[in-house]
Amino acid sequence: MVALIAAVIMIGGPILLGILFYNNLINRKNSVDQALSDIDVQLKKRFDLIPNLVETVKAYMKHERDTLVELTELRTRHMAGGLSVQEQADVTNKVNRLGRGLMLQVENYPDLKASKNFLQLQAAWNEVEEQLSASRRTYNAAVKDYNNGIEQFPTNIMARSMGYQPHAYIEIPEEERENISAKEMFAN
Amino acid sequence: MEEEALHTEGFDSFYERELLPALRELEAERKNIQSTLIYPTVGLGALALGLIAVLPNLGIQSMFLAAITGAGLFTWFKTKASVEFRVEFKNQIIRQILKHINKDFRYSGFSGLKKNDFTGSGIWPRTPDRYRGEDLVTGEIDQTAFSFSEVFAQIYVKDSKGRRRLQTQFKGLFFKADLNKETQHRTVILPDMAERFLGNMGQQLQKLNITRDDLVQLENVDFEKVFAVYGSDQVEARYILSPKLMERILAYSEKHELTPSISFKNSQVFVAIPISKEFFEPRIFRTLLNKEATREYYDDMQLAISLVNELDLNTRIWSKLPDYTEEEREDARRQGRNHRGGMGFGGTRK
Repeated sequence: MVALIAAVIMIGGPILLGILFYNNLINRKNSVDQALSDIDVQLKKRFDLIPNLVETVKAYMKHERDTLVELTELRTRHMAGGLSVQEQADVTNKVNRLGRGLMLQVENYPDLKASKNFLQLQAAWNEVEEQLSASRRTYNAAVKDYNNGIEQFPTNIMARSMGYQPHAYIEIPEEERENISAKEMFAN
Repeated sequence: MEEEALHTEGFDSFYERELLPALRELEAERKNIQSTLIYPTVGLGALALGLIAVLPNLGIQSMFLAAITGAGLFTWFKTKASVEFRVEFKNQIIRQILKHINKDFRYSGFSGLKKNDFTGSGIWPRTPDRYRGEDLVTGEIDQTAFSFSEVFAQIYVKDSKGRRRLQTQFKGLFFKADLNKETQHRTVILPDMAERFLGNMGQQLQKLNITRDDLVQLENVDFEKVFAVYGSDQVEARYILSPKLMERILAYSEKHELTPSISFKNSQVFVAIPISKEFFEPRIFRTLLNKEATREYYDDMQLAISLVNELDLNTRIWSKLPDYTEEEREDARRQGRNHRGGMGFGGTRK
C-alpha cells in the first residue's frame, strides 16, 4: 500500500511540476508577445499622425520641407511592409528623431505654435509618445520576467527542452531618458 | 532653502498681525474651559478616594474598571465643554490660516471626504465599519481641482478569542485630485512591507497576493524598495508612473519622513498620508499663544496642498514639451538664427 502511494507520488510529482513549469513559461512568453504587439499599436498610431503633422506644419515651416518629405517617406516604407526587424528599428528611430526635432523647431514659429490645429496635433503626438514609452517599459519588464524564467532554476530545465531562447531588451532612446526640462532652457 | 525662509517670514508676520488678536480672544475662553474642568476632575478624584476608603476590599479589577469609567466621564465632560470652542477655533484660526495660503480655498471644519471616495480609491480592501471625516479643504491650483480632509476609519476584526473588536483601518490625511492623464484602469501604490523584511522572497510573495491586482515591477530600484505597485493594466501603470513621477514620490516621502499610499483611478489620484494625530484641533490644557504650535496647523495643511505640485499634476501633456537633449536644443537654436538672419530665438520670452 505504502509502496503504491510512494510510486504515485514519484511519478505524478514530476509530471505535475512539469505541467506547472510548462504553463508558467508559456505565460511569460505570451506576456512578451502581448507587450510587443502593444508597442506596434502605438507605433502605428504615431505613423498615422504623420500626414496630419505634415499638413498642419508645412504652410508655416517652409524651411523644414526636407524633414516633412522624409517623414512621409518613412511612413510609406513602413506601410509597404516586409521590413526586417533591423530596418523597422531604423525607421522607428528616424521618426523619433525627426519628430522631436520638428516639435522643437516650432518654437521659432509662434503663429503655428498657437494655432488650434497644431495644439491638437501636439497633444496627440505627446500622448502617443507617452504611451509608447510605457509600452516599451512594459515590454522590457516582460522580457526580464521571461529571461528569468528561462535562466533560473528549476524552470530553466523545462525551458531548455522547449527550446526557449532569451530575448533582447528594447533600447529606450537616449533622448527620452534625459531629465533636462524645457523650462530651464527657456529661462536663459 | 531661501524659499523656506521667505515662507517662514510671511507666516511670522501673518501670525503677529492677524492670528494673535483672534488667538488672544480664544485663549481667554480656553482658560475658562480649563478651569471648568477642574470641578469634574476634583469631583471624580474625591469620589475615587471616597470609594477606596469606604470599600477597602476593592479588587484590582474593580479599581481598573473605575479608572476607565473615570477617564471616560472626564473625556465626556471635556468634549461637552469644548464643543463651541472647537467650532469657533476652526472657523477663526484654521479658516484664516487656509485663506492666508490661498484666499479662494474653501474650508469646512466638520465635513470630510466622502466614504465613497475612501472605498473607491482601491487602497483599502475593506469598506470601513466606522468612518469619520473632518476639516475638509477644497480648492484649485491652476487647472487642478483637489480636496483633502482628516479621516478616521475603523473596521471590526476578530481577535484570537473570537471576539469582535474595532481596529483602526486608517487615521490621517486623505487627499484627492484631478489627474493630468486619462485612466481606464486602476493602479495602486502601497508601502512595501514584504520587500523591506524579506527582500526578493518578499517579491515572490507579493505576486501571490490575491486580493490585489497584478504586481507591477518597475525599474527604479529605490522606488521598489519603498513601494509595491499593483495595477490592473501593466502598460497604464507605467504610463502613469513615469520615471520622473517615481522620483517625485520618493522625494516627497523622504522629505516628510512618511510613506503614503497612492492610487490612480477614474482619472483621479488619491493619496493617503497616515499620521496618527488630531489635526487642526485647539489645545485645551496648554496655551494657544504659541507660534510653533500654530505653525503646525499651517505645515499640516501644506503637507496635503503641496501634493499638487509635488506630483506635478499641473503639467498637462497637451502643451508639454518633451525632454530635449542639449544637442537637440543647440541644433534648434542654430537653425532659428539662420531663419531669422541672426535674431535667434532666445529673444524676449516671458
